[in-house]
Amino acid sequence: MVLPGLPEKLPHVALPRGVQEAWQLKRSLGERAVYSGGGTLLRTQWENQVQPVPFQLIALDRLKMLRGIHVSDGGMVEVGAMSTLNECIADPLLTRSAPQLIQALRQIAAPAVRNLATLGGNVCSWSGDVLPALLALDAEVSVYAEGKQLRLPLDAWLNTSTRDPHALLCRIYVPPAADGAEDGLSLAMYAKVGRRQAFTASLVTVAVAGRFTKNGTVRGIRIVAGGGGAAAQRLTAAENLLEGGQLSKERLFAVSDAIRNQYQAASDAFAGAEYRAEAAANLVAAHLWQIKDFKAP
Amino acid sequence: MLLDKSTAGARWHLRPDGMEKVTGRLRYLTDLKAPGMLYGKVLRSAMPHAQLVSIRTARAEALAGVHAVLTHKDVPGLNRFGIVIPDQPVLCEDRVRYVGDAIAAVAAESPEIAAYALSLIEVDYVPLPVVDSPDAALRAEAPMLHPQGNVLHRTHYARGDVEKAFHACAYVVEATYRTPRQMHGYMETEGGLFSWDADGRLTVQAATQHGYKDRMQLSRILAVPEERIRVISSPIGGSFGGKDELNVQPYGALLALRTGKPVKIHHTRRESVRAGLKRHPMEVTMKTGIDADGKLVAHSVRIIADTGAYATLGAPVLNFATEHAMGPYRMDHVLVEGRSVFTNNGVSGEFRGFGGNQVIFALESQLDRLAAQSGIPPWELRRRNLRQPTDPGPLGNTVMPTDGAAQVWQEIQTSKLWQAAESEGGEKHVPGRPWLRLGFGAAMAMHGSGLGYGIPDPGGGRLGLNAEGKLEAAFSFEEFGQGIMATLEIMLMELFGCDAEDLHLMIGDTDKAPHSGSSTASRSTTIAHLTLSELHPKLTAAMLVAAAEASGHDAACLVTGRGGIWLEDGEGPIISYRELAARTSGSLCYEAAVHFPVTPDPVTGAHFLYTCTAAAVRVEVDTRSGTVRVLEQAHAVAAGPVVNPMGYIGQIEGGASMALGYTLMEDAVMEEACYRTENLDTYMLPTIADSQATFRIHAIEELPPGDPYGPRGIGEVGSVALAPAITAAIYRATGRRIDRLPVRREDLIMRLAGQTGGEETL
Repeated sequence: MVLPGLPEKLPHVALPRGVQEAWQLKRSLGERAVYSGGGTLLRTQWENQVQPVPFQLIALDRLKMLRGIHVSDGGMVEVGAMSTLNECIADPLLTRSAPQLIQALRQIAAPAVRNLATLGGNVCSWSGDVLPALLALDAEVSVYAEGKQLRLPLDAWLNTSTRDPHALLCRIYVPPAADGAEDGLSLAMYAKVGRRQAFTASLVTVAVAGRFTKNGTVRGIRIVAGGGGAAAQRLTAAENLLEGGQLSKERLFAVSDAIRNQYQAASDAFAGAEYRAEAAANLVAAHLWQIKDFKAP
Repeated sequence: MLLDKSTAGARWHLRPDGMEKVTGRLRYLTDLKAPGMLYGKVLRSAMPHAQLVSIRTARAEALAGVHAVLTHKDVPGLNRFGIVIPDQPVLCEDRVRYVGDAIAAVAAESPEIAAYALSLIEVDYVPLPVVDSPDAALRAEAPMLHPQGNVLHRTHYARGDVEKAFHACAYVVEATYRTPRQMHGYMETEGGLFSWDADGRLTVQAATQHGYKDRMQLSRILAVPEERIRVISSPIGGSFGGKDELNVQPYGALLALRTGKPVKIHHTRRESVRAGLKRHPMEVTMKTGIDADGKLVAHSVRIIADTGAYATLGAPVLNFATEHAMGPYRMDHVLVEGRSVFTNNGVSGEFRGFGGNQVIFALESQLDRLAAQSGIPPWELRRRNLRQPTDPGPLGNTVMPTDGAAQVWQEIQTSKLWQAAESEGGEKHVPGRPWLRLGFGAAMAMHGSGLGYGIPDPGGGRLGLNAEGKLEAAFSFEEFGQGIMATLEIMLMELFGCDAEDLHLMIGDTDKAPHSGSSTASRSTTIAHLTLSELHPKLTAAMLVAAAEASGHDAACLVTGRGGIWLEDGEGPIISYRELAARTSGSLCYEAAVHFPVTPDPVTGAHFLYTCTAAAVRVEVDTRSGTVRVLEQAHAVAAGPVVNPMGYIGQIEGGASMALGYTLMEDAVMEEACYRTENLDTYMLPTIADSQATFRIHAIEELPPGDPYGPRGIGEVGSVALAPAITAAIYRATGRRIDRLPVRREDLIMRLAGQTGGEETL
C-alpha cells in the first residue's frame, strides 16, 4: 500500500551529472526509481494513483547533454530530451523544419505545464500527443541503454520488445523539411481532437507526412494516429492505398475505410473506440481531399 | 440598450475587490492561518452504500502529531445537517449512503499527518445494494435509503385537462431530455479556519451564502447558543450555490472544540468533488401540443430528479423546476408531475438556475420540434404564445406585471447576430470545407427571483455615519465574485452623491451585520435596493439636520455629497462627514428589516418577481469530429434598471460560460455511484478558448409604470437559456436533435463520403 503523503514517504531525489550515472542508478534500483524530466505527468499519475510515488526520483535536470536544439549531421534538427515543450515551440529551427510538430506541441496541456514538461517526457509516456507527429516525420532517437549510446528510428525503439527497461532517452532527431515547390506539395498535417478547445487530453490525434508530386502522385506517405491511452500507430493499410497512386474521391473513401478498420483506438468513459477511429479517418481524408485537386503548374 | 463599456460611460465602475483579486493578493478565508493551528481532514466513505459495523480509531489516535480523532460519538448536539431537512449525518453512525459521507474527522499538526491518520482508521463495512439511478431507486425491490422511502419530494400541478386537449391539437411532440450532473467548479474549494476563544465563543471563518443560517445549523450540531457563534463568510472564491449548505464547518468547529486550538480545513479538489454538491441531473419528459395556428394548447411534463443521498435543497429545486416548466408562455391545459428521488449518487443541491436550466432546455427544445413539425418559424411560434404583462405566473399565482418576455423576444430579433443570420438566408457552409456546418439558434426563458411563496425570505441591513466619518452600510451578504460590493458601492454613491472613499461597506459577518437573508436566488440586489430605499432618506435627513445645526444654514438648502454635506449650489462641503461624525458621536445609525416581495397567493414555491432573457447563438459544427464551437452570442435581459454595468455584464457572461460548459462538456460522470471524474483533469470546465465567442448583451431597463421594486438580480438568468439556443443552432446546422446534455461528439460526427457543402461534394 502506498501511504499517503507523510513527509518520510516523499521520494528521495538524485541529481546525477552524467547519463551513465543516471542509467546505472536506475538499473540498480529497478522499479523503485523513476526518471523525472519536468515531472508534470508523474504528478498527475501519483495524484490519480495510477503510479505509486517511487522511493527515488532520478531528476535529469543536471544533464547538460540532454539540453539544446541544433542542426546535426545530415541536416537533422537534434533536440535534447530535456528541452521543454515551450523551448521547442520557440525554436526557429524546429519551426522551420517541422511545423506540424510545433502544432502538436502547442496543443499539449497549458502554458505553465509546457514550461516544465519536456519533449523526452512526452515521448516516454508512450501515448504523448507528440508521438504521432514525430512518427510521421520519421524521427530518430538516441538512447543510453545496456551501457552504451544507441541511435535508431523512433518507430523501431518504440516497438522493440527487447527494450532495456532502464533505457534513457537522450536526443530526438527531426529530419529536415523536404525542400519546396519543385517536388510538388507537402502533405504534412497534424490534428488533435480533445474534449475542449485547449488544455485537454486528446481523444484522437493524427499526423500525416509525405509529398504530392507535380505529376499528381503521392510519395513517401506516412499516416499515424494516436490519442487517449492508445499507442501511436502507423496506419499502413491506408498508406499502401495511397503510396505511388493518385488522389481521387474513391481512393479517399477507401483510405477512410482502411483507417477505420486498422486503427486500434482507445476507449473510455468519454469517447468510444469506434468514434475515435471514425474521427481519425475523417481528419485524414478531409485533409487529403483539400489538396486532391491540386494540379502542378 | 447594448450594454458595454462605452454605453455605460461614467457608470463603468471598477469593482473595489478587483485589483486584489487579479493580482492574487486577496486573502481568502482559506488563506488564513493562526498561531498553533492544526489541520483537519475528514474520512469519507469507501463505499457508496453500506452498513457501518465498526469504526476503530486507536491507531490513528496513537500517531505522533495527531491531536484528535472524532466519530459520531463526539457530536454533542444534533448529528445532522441540511438547510431545509436536516437528514445528513455530520458523522455517520451505522450507515453510509454516498462516497462523500463523513465517518471520522482528524486534527493533526500537518495536512500530511492528518491524511496519514485517516488511512489508519479502520472501518468495517457491510456493502448494501447500490442504488445508482432514480430508475433503480423507484423499483419495488429497491432498498429504502431513508425511512420515508426513496422519494424526497413530489410536485403536482394541473390546470385544464391535458389528455382531452391533446386530441384537439394539430401537432403534438413528445421527447425525453436528460441533463448532466454539473459541478460548481469554483476556484476556491471548501474550507476555512475555526477557533474558540477563552470565553467559549466560536469564530467560523468559512465560505457560505448565508452566514446566519450556518450559525443556526452549527448551534444545533454543537449544542451551543447561536449568540456564541460568529460566522465570517466573505470573501469567497466562487460558490454558485455550492457553498450554501454546510460542508466543512461542523468538522472544523468540532475539532477546534476538542483540541482547544484553531483548526484549518481546506478541501483538495478531489475531496471537493467527492463530498460536494452538484446540479440535479434530471430526466424531463414533455408532451406538448399546438393548434393549427401555433397556439400552445396542452403541455404535460414529467420530471425525475436525481437528488442523491440527502435532502439539502432538493425539494425547493424540484418546486422551481415545476414552476418553470411552462416558461413565459400562455397555455390552458397543463400537467406537471415531479419527483425528486434519493439515490446513492453524490448529493445534488443548489446551483445557479436552481432547476430552471433543466426544464428550460426541455421546453425550448419542444417548441423547436413543434416549429419544425408545423412549419411555423421557431421565433414566430414563440411570439404567438408569449405571456402578456398582467398575466398570472406559471402556477396561476399573482405576479408583479412584467413585459419582459415580449421585450427580450423583440430585442434579440433586432440584434446584430440575428440580422446577420437572416441575411445569410440559410447558407450553412464554409467554402472549401464541406464538413463544417454553421447554424443559428435562439431560446428564451423567464426566471423567478427570491425564495418563493412559503419560505420565509426576510432581509434588511444597517446604514449609518460611523465614528470614523464614513457612511457605513452593513449587510450580511457574501461577496463570492458576483459583485455585491461594487453594486452596494454604486448604489450608495448614487444615493449620497458621494465618493467611494466616503463609504465603509461591512458584509459577511454575523457579529457586525444584521440579517439580510441569503446571498442566493438572485435576491441580494433587490434586498439592498429595498433596504436602502428605506434607510437612505432617514440617514440623509438626520445628517442634514445635524449639519444645519453646526453651520447655521437651513437644512432644506443642504445636500449630501463628496466628502460631506454641501450647500445645494456649493463648491465644496461645508462640513465633512468626519466633522459631522464627531458632532453626532456615532448616533446616526438606522436599521431596517424588509421582506423579499412575495406573491399574495398561497402557491408553494411560486414567485412574484420575474426576469426574462433570450439568447441567440451561431455555432460551427465540425462534422469530421462532431466538435461544436460557439462563434457568437447575443443575450437580451429584462431585469429592470442596471445598477452596475460591469457587474451585470460579468454576471451574464459568467452565467453563459457556465451554461456553455453545461451544454458542451461538463458532467460529473458516476458509475455505480462512484465518480469517474475525480479531478479537473477529467471533469472539463470551459476555458477562455471555448468562450471566445463575440458576446453582446442587450439590457432592457424599462419596468412597467409604478413598479416599486427597482433593479432585479441577474445572478442566475444568464445561465438558463443558452443550452437550448446552442442545441437549436446545432439542429439547424446538422439536422440532428440533441435531447441529452452535454452534447456528445458521437452524435454529431458524420462520415465524409457524400457530404456536400454548397457547390462542393465530398
